[in-house]
Amino acid sequence: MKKTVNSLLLIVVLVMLYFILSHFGILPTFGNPFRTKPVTIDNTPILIEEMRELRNLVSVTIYDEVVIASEKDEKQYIGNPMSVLPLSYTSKARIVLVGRGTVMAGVNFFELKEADCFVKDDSVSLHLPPATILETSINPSGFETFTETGHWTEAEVTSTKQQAKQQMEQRALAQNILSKATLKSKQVVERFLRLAGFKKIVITP
Amino acid sequence: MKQVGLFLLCWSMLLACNNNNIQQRNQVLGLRQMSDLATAEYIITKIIRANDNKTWYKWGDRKILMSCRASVKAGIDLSQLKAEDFQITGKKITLLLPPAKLISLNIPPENINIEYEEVGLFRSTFKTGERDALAAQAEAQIRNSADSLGILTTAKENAELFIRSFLMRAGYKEVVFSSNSPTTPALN
Repeated sequence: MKKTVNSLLLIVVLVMLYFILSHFGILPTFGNPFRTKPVTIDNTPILIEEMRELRNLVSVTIYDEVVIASEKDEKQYIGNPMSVLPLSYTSKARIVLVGRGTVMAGVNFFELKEADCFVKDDSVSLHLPPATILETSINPSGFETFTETGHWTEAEVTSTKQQAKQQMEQRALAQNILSKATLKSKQVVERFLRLAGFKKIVITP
Repeated sequence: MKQVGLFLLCWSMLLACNNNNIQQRNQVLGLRQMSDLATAEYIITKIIRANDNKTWYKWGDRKILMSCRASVKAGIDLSQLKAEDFQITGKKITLLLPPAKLISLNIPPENINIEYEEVGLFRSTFKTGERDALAAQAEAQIRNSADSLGILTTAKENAELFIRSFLMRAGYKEVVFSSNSPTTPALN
C-alpha cells in the first residue's frame, strides 16, 4: 500500500516538475498536434527598379478604416457541367473586406515657379502651390477578409481593393483634408522661413 | 387579422436576416498634422515565394509565387529644425538638418500579382486572406530592410539639394550644411 502511494506521489511530483520546467522553456512542450503550421515566405532579395526625386511636403495624414463589399451571381453545377443536360443553379458570391490605411496630403514643391517667390531684404512673399492628395495606401497588412464566399479571381479582388482605396480617399476629402493640408503647409513654410532669418513673411496659398 | 400580423412579423424577420448593408462611420480613425519633407522615392520589386507543406495531416502541397512592386518614400521632418540649427552671417547660412527617415511604404493592390500557383489534389487554392497574409510578410521584410537600400542617404542628399535651391532663390548667396547625426529608419 505504502509502495503504491509513494509511486503515485512520485508521478505527481514528476508531472508537476515537467509543467514547471516546460513553462519556463527548459523542457519542450508537446502542444496541439493538429495545429495548422503557419505558411512563411522565403527571404527573397529586394530589387530597386527606379529612384525618383521628390519635393513633397506631407502636412496632413489621415488614418482610416473602410468596409467594402462585392457581390456577383455565380453559376453552380450539380454533377458534370459538360453533360448534355447540366443541372445548374445561380448563387450569390460575396466578398467583404476591411481595409485600414492612410491618406497623405500636402504640397508638391516641384510646382513652385520662379515667379511664386519674391524677396526684398528681410521680407519674403511666397505663393504656395495648392495642397493635393500625395498618397493613398492600404497595404496588404491593412486588409482583412471578413467574408469570402464563391470563387473570386485575382482581378476581381484587386478591383474591390481599389474601390476601398477610392472610398478612403473620398472620405478624407469629405474631412477637408486639402484645406487642412494647405493651412498646415503654410505654417510649416512660414516657420522655416522665420528660422532662416526672414522677418516679414507673406504666404498665399 | 392575426394571420396578417403573423405574416408581417415573419416577413420583417426574413428581411432582417437578409440585411447585409454596410454602414460606414462618418468620422475617420485619426488625423495627424505633420511636417515631413519627402525627398526620395524608391520603386522596388520583390518576389513572394511560399510553400504550404508544413502541416502533417494535410495531404498534398500548395505552392505560390507572387510578385509585388512597392514604393518607399523617405525624407526629413522639418518640425525637428530648431533656431540653433541655423547660423546666419550676412548672405551665408549654415544649417544642421535633422536625420532622414522613412516616411511611407505603399504596396498598391494592383501591384501584387500571382505569377504561379500549384495546388495539390486534396488542397484548395490560396484564398484572398491567405494571399494577403503572405504579402503582409513581404511588406514586413521590405519595411525591415528599407534603410539598407540606401534611400535615407539619397533622401538626405535630395533634401540638401532642394533646401539649397530654395534658400538661394530666397536671396542667400551661400548655403552650407553642417554634418548631422546618422539617419534613422523610423517609419510612421
